[in-house]
Amino acid sequence: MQETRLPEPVAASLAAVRRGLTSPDVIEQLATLATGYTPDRAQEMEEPTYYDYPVLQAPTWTWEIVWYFFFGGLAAGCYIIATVAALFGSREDRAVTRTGYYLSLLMLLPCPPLLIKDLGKPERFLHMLRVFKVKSPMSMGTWGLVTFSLFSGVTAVIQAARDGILGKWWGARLLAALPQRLIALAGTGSGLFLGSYTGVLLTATSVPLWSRSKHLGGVFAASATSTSCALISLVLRLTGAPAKTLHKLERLEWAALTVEMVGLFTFLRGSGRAGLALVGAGPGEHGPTFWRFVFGAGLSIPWLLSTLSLFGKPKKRTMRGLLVGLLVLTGGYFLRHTIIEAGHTSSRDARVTLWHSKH
Amino acid sequence: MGSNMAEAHPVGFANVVKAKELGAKVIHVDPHYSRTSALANMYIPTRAGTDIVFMGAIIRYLLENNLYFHEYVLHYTNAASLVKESFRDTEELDGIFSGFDPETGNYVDQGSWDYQPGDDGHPLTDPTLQNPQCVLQIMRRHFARYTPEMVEQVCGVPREQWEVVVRTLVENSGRERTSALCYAVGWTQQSKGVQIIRTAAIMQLLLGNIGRPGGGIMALRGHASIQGSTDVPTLYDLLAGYMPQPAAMIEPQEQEAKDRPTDTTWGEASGKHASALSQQTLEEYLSSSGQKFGWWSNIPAYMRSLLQAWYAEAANEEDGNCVYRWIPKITGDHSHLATTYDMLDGKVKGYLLFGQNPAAGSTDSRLQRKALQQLDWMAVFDLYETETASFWQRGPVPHLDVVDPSQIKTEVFFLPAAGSTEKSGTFTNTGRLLQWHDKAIDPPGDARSDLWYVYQFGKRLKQLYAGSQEARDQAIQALTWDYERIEPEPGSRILDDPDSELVLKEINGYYVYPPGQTGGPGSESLQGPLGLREAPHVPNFGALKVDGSTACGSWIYSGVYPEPGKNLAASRTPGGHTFLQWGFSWPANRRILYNRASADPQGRPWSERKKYIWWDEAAKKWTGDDVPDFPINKPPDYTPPPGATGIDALSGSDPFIMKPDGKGWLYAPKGLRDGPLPTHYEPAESPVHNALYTQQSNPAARYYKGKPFNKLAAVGDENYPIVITTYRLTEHHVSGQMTRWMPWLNALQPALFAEISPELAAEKKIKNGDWIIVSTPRGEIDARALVTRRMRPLRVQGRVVHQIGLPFHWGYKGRVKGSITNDLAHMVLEPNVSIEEAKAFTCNIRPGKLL
Amino acid sequence: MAVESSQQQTAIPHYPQWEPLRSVVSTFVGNKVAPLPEQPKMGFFTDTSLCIGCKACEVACKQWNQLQAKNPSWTGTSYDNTESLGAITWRHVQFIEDIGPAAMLPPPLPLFGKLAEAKSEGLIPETPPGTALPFFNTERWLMRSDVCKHCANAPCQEACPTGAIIRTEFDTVYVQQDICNGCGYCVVACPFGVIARDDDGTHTARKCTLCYDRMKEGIEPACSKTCPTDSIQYGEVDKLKAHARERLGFLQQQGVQEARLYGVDDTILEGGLNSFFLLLDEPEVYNLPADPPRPSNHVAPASFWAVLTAIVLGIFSILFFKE
Ligand SMILES: Nc1nc2c(c(=O)[nH]1)N[C@H]1C(S)=C(S)[C@@H](COP(=O)(O)OP(=O)(O)OC[C@H]3O[C@@H](n4cnc5c(=O)[nH]c(N)nc54)[C@H](O)[C@@H]3O)O[C@H]1N2
Ligand SMILES: Nc1nc2c(c(=O)[nH]1)N[C@H]1C(S)=C(S)[C@@H](COP(=O)(O)OP(=O)(O)OC[C@H]3O[C@@H](n4cnc5c(=O)[nH]c(N)nc54)[C@H](O)[C@@H]3O)O[C@H]1N2
Ligand code: SF4
Ligand code: SF4
Ligand code: SF4
Ligand code: SF4
Ligand code: SF4
Ligand SMILES: [Mo]
Repeated sequence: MQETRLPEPVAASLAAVRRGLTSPDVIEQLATLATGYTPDRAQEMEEPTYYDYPVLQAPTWTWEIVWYFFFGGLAAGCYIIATVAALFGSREDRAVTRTGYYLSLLMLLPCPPLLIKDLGKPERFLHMLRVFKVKSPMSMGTWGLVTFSLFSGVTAVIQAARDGILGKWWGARLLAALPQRLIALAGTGSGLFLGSYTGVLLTATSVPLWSRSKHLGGVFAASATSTSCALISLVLRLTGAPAKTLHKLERLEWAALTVEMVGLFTFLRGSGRAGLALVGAGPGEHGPTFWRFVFGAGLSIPWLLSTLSLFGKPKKRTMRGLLVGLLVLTGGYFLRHTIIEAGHTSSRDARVTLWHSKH
Repeated sequence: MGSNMAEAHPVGFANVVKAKELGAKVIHVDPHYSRTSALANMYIPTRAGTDIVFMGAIIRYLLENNLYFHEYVLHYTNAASLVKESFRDTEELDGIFSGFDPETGNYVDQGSWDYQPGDDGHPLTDPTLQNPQCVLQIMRRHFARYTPEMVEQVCGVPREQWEVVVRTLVENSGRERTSALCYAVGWTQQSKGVQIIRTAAIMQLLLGNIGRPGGGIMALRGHASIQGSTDVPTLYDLLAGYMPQPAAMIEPQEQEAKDRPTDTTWGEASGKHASALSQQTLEEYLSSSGQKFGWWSNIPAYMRSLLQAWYAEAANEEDGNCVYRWIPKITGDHSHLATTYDMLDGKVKGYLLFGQNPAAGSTDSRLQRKALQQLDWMAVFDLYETETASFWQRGPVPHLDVVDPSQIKTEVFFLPAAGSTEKSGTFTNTGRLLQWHDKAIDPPGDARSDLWYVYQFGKRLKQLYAGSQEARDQAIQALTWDYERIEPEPGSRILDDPDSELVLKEINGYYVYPPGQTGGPGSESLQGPLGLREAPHVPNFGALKVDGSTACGSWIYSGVYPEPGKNLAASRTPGGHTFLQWGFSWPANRRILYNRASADPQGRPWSERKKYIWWDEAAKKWTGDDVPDFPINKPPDYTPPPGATGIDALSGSDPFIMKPDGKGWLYAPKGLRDGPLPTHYEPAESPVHNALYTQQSNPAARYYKGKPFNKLAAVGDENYPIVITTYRLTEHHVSGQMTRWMPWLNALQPALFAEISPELAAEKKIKNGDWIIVSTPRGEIDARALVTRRMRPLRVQGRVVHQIGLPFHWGYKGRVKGSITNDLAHMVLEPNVSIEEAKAFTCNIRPGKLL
Repeated sequence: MAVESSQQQTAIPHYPQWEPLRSVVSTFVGNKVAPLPEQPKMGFFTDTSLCIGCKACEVACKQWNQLQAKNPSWTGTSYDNTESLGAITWRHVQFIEDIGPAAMLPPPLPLFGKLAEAKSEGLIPETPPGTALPFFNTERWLMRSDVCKHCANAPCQEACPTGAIIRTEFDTVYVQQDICNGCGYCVVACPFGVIARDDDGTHTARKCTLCYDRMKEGIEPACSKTCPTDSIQYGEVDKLKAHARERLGFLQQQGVQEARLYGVDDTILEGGLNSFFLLLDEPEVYNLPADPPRPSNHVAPASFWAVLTAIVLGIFSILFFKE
């Protein structure tokens, strides 16, 4: 049980961070650090706008899209990790493959309903398939989702057939004989797409927070990986899997978290003033949530924990692993949540919008 | 000046914008910076109610610096006419003219204002303009105290700004150029409104800007056909075409001492007080209303034709005198607002209200609602159930006066009216232009046109009195009253709508005895008398006769419908310099009145640039871009032979043909109730004393002192130190009934607000958007504060005077509601036209909301 | 006002009512509807120097298109209670109060004495010498009627995943109401905050149609037709642009140095706007982005970074699993 207790200095610094993160000043400082922009309220008030009425329309997207992004990322990530495990992993890693494909399909299931629910006219969902438009990430995304659904479905069914879940009749045998790896290779392509197009989709808008820096796709891709990794290992830890496999996932987790953090900071740096909607402490800005749940609980703590694990021997470390997994999943959710919400804030901020278009 | 043209007349203002594009300079002088100011080359904030000083100083400047248009002034105005020696100016009497009776508050004897009559009946003149009694010299003395310093002291306008206006005006007037003045109710709704307009007229005459293209004083008329309502009048003191309503002497007045020089120059009944006419017979009427010289000498023909139109054959009895007796005579001020007081006193029993909403739209609306309670019955003809129609049921929220229906005896009938698109007829606009509009759809449900109501009402009255033997009912029995449609209107479900083109025909006039026939009424050979339906149309008012052979509903409109099938009001042919084929503008389709003045005395255009009407020597007639407003063949060098009367008594260089002397009146020797020359008086409520005279406010205005609900704040009252003015917004129409039922418009201006300067807001601790309470001695209302730099404090007589402005479009009926601004206003009436002073009074403000 | 147009008055076939299924099919089978005849590009030139803020355009648009009224709410932001464009507001008149604290005096006028002299000698100059009033007074109340820009490269149209947003034969940007499924992507794509989803009504994205229904019949749009001062001018884009440049020249010659054009040249969104403006101040004063990025340009760099991240992580995962 000892291993689950945090080392003293870590606990102390976390407490300090916790305390700090509740203070707007500290959040402001962190925001400045992250975005490289020191807010100058006086100067900002000097800038002309039209009564601070928004320049842009607020996005129509709310919780459905947040969950869709979350589940979509998981579906894609799980699929890809499963495929990598299948192609490159050891025999023991099959557990990853199996769990990954099932989870992928499971995570995919809520996506279409969420997407449809989000539409103004859900009954016209099929209109999405009227056109194929390379310039429109949403068009591409829909096609991507359709394609991926096919692959994910087929792969999972093959997996099921191989796992004997479908029984032993000829059809199941036929399915089991299909070249799963080949299909998965192609599916991974569409998975990669699905995992990252959401970020591209947001980038290809006029909302300053989403579009100023071009790195959101990368952040989302990394987050898809980290959350999927977390989900798979969570399930594997609960269902029991070899420590070695789990350790592989831990390392991948660490790598994904590292890339995600680097990506996130690149994103914030690139966003500059536009990033404040996400990380600042001003009215309507989402800094408090971001620093606590995305950066703090969702990234740095699990990163620290997995860093610790990284240097240890491949052990089970169930509790710590479970904690990391949960934290990463929560963080992944809040990342999408705050980015969407802060996008609303950003679209309302006329001064930032006007600054963005000028600089 | 005195108009928020861009907001209240946006379509008309488009032409101002166009003119500006072509190089015209637009100057806006107004207490509040409005959408009009935004487009102007220059905006000058001024204190409400001080325009006579602003323009008076310009007049003085023109006179002192010899900058007036000499030739024009000498030949076309009465500058050279000599005024009676007995005339005393405000200079001598400290703010009042001779003839004032402090007891009645009237200029009871205006004889001293008149010209010195010459032998031929024409006024004496001094063409050298040196005689101290000549108009120009009197004006010099009168305006001497209207200095630029006074503009600063009284209007709060820095001298430099005023100077720019003077210079711009001078530079843009003369032979080559003209300047126009536009005004509306910023000038009229003042206790001296008519005199403000007179000041403008004097200024424009001095600059030579009347009767010429690009010149003039444009009265921007209000409601869609308010011009029409004075032409074919709904006014109590006018008959059709600006003929006065006959008056009865209320109490016969003693003839004043014989030495009073009260005889007049032009055949007016002499020796009588101007305020006490007796017009019991047609002769009396014609001699006192008509003129010996000038166009108004035609009044007998116009009056006779009017009687003919109303009473047909009966008008021939006693040469028209018989029916003249039936025409109601006025005995005093029966205007809408004056009647309100009578109503309050219980003197008015019933009220027919067509398209008006006094409970919210009229001044001192709280008093209005009180007055309505004294009625026995009221019928409201309107598109909506207005504040007035529901006054017995509710009042403004928050309640100033709790309305208890059980305590109100007035029986109210609501009759749904048809809107303008649901009936055909004419609109007469600011340019005196009649434009016919066709009916687009039937009115809904029981709604009917006003014409329908009035016609049916008349028919029922005639039925009611058909059997009466009473002499007093003959007026109704003999009235011609047949506008029935022969065939129902195609596509309409309303079968008994009267024929509005038939009404137009009556207004245009027709031959009761067609021309080309010899003899007159009673002669055998005549084909006639003919009724309205079958009679041929008269071509124009030139055809109207005094012998009863013609009938005409309003002589100035004659010519609008010269022959069957030719309704000129409906013509829509654009093109030409003056769009003469578009609609019909009275009189005789002239676009510019007195346009003879656009040529010099010899009949040549003043300049090539400003060519408009000129004398064509070869053709021996006047010609040009417009219909000449002059006898077409009268040469410029015509001089009237001795003893000539009527229009022949005016020379070939007298452009102002409606005036008995043919001149533009710098000085008004008669016709006004408050003096021959404009004089600055402070508004009835003012934060300051009159800096020019001891006389504080217009002595002839009617104050109704002591009447309830009409308390006035004292001069400089510390409790009411702020000047308040009221105005319109483009988004709403007057009392709001026509717009506040329309969600699209409500979204544009949803609530009543008060515009206040940041300085005043700071002083009163008010922030933009706060609720504030505005109070006057008449009442309190609440509104949102719109703190804006468009309002600014002025420096007047060494102190800071704040002004605030409120629109007045809200009330307690409609989809959006709000306080009634008119609950604040008082009811002091201008002496000539009985208009309220809604444009300048005093108030106070504080943060808060009434509950 | 309509600037004379060379639009052909031929009968123009109407767009067919596409049912969802057929449209899906037609995606693969191809569009069988004959293309509409080419027409000249049509657009608006909104000249704010002529606007009197009467809002007739707003009301005319609501009336013609039978758009719902906004809930009445008083804002206290000058005379603008409309606030912004939106799903049921396709014209919006802005009011900007730019008035200094102190009354500014106009420049002194020269030569006045000479004029008096000239007059007394009977010589009246053809043009008055010192009439040098500025074209606008120094205290300004700027008004502008905002509308969809009908961008030459319209981000909303580029974003639309259903093809609901099309360019018409007049090169205007038009939302086919029977196709739009309300995904909301155009809403965030438009850099001017124009198009919005009508959540209380049609649930589709709506915006100015440039009165496509009227245009097809050769009738001028409702708003420009109503505008009393011709602040809104409708016509062929090329002619209008030429006119806008002329107008700018005129104003600058009149000393209105603040005047500038917005969307006339090709810089904005790499192709300019078919509905452009003459402004009397910086674009930001009117809430107009000076040079908004074109969202579709972000697709490539964003994809690059996404792919790069994926590759990095892919390599990591391969490495980790391989060992
Ligand atoms: N949209 C709209 N249009 C309308 C109407 C409407 O209700 N709504 N009403 C119609 C009617 S009935 C009428 S009568 C006309 C009226 O047309 P306007 O007279 O143009 O309308 P108001 O807004 O009352 O304008 C009065 C202007 O005079 C200014 N003013 C007030 N006092 C003074 C003063 O002492 N001196 C000077 N120089 N200016 C002063 C006010 O600040 C205001 O700007 O509009 C007609 N048109
Ligand atoms: N404080 C302040 N008060 C003012 C003014 C001001 O400037 N300041 N201005 C004054 C002026 S200039 C005016 S003109 C008055 C106007 O005052 P009102 O005439 O009382 O005001 P409106 O709201 O125009 O009322 C007109 C009514 O006629 C109805 N109506 C419209 N068309 C028809 C029709 O065809 N037939 C019939 N029967 N009814 C119809 C409308 O529904 C409306 O209820 O207000 C005056 N009051
Ligand atoms: S409401 Fe009618 S009369 Fe008044 S400005 Fe508009 S068009 Fe002219
Ligand atoms: S302004 Fe916005 S809505 Fe209009 S065409 Fe451009 S992107 Fe589309
Ligand atoms: S909301 Fe409609 S118009 Fe807008 S992008 Fe989506 S489908 Fe296209
Ligand atoms: S063009 Fe038509 S749809 Fe567009 S703003 Fe004008 S009136 Fe409205
Ligand atoms: S654009 Fe035209 S119609 Fe619209 S507010 Fe300006 S002047 Fe009025
Ligand atoms: Mo009026």
